[in-house]
Amino acid sequence: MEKRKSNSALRTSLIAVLTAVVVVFTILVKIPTPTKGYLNLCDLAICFIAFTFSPLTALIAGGLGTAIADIISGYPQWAPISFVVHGLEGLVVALIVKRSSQDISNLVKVSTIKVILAMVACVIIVAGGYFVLSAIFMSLGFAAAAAGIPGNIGQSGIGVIAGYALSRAVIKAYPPVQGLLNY
Amino acid sequence: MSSATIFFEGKGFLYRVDARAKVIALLIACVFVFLPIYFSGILTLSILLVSLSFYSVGIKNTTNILKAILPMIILVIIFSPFYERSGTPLLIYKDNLILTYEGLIHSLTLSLRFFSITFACSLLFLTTKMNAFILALQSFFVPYKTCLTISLVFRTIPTIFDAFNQISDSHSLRRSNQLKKKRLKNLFPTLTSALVVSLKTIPSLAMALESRGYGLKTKRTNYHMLSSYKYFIFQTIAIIFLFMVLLLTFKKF
Amino acid sequence: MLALDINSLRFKYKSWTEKKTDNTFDNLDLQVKEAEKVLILANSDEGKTTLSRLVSNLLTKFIPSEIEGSIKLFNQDINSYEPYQLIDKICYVSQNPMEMFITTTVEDEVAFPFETIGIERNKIIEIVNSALIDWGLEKYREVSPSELSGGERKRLLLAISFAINSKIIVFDEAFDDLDKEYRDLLAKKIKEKNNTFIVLSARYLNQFNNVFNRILTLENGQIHNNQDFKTQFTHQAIHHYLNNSRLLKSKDFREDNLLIKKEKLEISSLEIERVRESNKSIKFNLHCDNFIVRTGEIIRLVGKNGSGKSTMSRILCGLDKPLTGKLTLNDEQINKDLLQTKVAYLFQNPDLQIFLPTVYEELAYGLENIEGLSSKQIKEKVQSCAKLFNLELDETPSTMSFALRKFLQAGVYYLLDRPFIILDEIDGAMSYEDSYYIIDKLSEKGSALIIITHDDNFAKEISDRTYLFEDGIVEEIL
Repeated sequence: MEKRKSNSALRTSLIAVLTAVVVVFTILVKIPTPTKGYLNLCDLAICFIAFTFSPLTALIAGGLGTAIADIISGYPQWAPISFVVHGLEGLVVALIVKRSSQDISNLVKVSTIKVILAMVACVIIVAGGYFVLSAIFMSLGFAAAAAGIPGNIGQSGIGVIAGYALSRAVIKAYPPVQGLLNY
Repeated sequence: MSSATIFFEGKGFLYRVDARAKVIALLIACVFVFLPIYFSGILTLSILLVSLSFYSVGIKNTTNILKAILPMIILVIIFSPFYERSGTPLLIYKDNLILTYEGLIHSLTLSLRFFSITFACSLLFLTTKMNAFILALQSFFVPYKTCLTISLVFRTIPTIFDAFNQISDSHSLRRSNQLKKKRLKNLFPTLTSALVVSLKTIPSLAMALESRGYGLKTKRTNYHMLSSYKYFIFQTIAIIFLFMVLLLTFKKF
Repeated sequence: MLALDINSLRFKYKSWTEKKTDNTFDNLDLQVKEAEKVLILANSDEGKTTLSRLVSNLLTKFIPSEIEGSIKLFNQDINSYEPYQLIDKICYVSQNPMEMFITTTVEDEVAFPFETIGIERNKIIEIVNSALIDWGLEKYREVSPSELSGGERKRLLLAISFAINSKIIVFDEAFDDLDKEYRDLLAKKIKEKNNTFIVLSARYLNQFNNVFNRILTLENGQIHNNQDFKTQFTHQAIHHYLNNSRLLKSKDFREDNLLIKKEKLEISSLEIERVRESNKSIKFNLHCDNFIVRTGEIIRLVGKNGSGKSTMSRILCGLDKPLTGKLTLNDEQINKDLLQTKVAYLFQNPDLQIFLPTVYEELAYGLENIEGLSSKQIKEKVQSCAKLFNLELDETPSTMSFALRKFLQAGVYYLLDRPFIILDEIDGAMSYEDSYYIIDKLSEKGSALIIITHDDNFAKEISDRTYLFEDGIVEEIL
């Protein structure tokens, strides 16, 4: 007698907790850089979510999480840009690697091509997005904004691979996560 | 990191301004710096913001904000001027034009724009409690569910943070040898278990929400209240007036 | 009228691996009359939390599971309600308060349910004020619940539950984490109020005397009327261990039969200061003139909630640095890094110390770093340890029961041969039997055990010495 009712509370909790995960991963490890202040693990968290949950969830958690992280770590001026860039990152990566929840539970591998595609998309969105948006809206000019590109490429590229590995590790260590995949 | 906020306890001027008015002021300021105005206009706004910061959150916080953005400003000042090749020469080295007056003004405008946006944002969050900020969002017709989600995020951050720290602690307690500290090797399992602990809280958080009545159709009441509307409207008018004066004084058009 | 009526309830959680799960409940019946006060005693694995969540209709909507039979509240099947519609009928008080909190300050936490049901603001302010005063939380109003100590959190949860005042209140280990003062208060409230109370507990406490109309037990998935509960659910449970284990043997015996190196850890003139981040005015200081522990000893740290027992333990095992003070190991000054390899610390929450996908990997993890151990030796050690703590090597730790996760946590440190082991609230949410089992096994090699508890009587008979934490001072009581 399994029941499926509308489950707004569970959906809200899922989004809130995953967003908080992105926030914590973002402020946990800080490697200072000239541009955005610091490199961090946010791409890892966002890609973990993209490989495990739905594209919409990845969009909200990625965007909201990095924006809140910017606000509470003293870089609030970056919040709108982070919201757009990382939200888009979560959405696109999740769309590229999307599998049925059955496949995710059974740890069916994502094809190498898709992983590479996700990496390329992720790098373009993050490095390119920060470059363009910060040059225009943060009024940095293109020359100064370019200083952030190398760090962002490395961080987001590694994020995709590590996020994938983390997704598999978590499903193995905590099988009941499968019950949350459909929300 | 048990309380996730940069809010700074204080009694200065900005603390007495209504959260909604501050949010509006921030939005206007961000638009203002991109309008076609003279350099002196942005300079005036920057000076205004810094004095406001001194007066509201003190010297220490102000220098902290400055320190955080200094590297970026330096980058802008170093790189940008050389792109502007036309105009009155300022610096010539061996017949090569290095810097023009227009180039210098352009790069200073860019940096002060960045500077103003940063200060305005930081001041908002240094002087506004998260509760008040979320209430302000709510009064700007952001749906309750979104506001609740944001507040749940703030509720969850310390828990995950604590979990992460305790998990790393427990890793150090399992070392067999005091010299071997494999931070990087331990990072992956630490992240995995931090995620497991976080994911485990999802169903119980949903239970908590519903057991406190979340889902009922009755109209919600609010325990907290922002200051009265009269205050808010008066302050908002004052802010708009201030920016109008700035705009009219420094407009290029 | 019956407040709660459970008929032939069968329940099991959905299995996520190939392994079949057992029924948590099999033909369980329970009838509770209106205004009746019922105590249900059960060991930690019997499904106390599952039962309390089921009767509050909170479980099946959020955790995939299979259920048969009927649960009725005031003659209405609970399936005809959404969980949020039951707020005036039944209130679930979780064993782990943190999982019930949804806001960022203590006062908001109390106000939240009243905001959702639309009580007017002035009334909510009154309710919040009186709830906080009742449970001694007035000064923590604007503090974040995550910064409260375990006992304070429990008090906050109780304050909320009594403020909501549902017709039925289900307490899952509500007396845990509370000091005597508040245990008495809670017992008094249960006795005086007219609500229906269902209290689930792994232990029969002194405070329970003369409070309940009926005392039942939950064993093997069914409710029983076992009047011989005291031998299993009170301190009498220790006698079983006292009769056939090393624990009974004198301290001298244990010290003479060490399987590990003899060592001594000492702290002198220790000074600790802790400040709450969200409210800097609430400070906390702890002072300790002298603290000493030797291998073979069993000592207890007792004191109220928030008296600094855990704070001091973190210093003992090298996770934190004291403000001032001297730590020595075998009379030589010792640094944090070395301390971490000498003193084990079993956190109250085992989940923070368990992270690998199988029991085997978890137990072997620490051993793999020890030089000179062959993989065959590791395997043997892990196998014998698993046997000792009743663990199955291929199980997934995150889905095992709380008691088994606790056993696994103990197994990890058992294998590491630490000379000193701190057990933080090992009696919390565990039956006496299980707690003593862990203590018994961990003491086998002669490791010094430092048992943290706020239960004056817990482990009294087996400990050699006791340190009391009171008013910011740590002193040995004689």
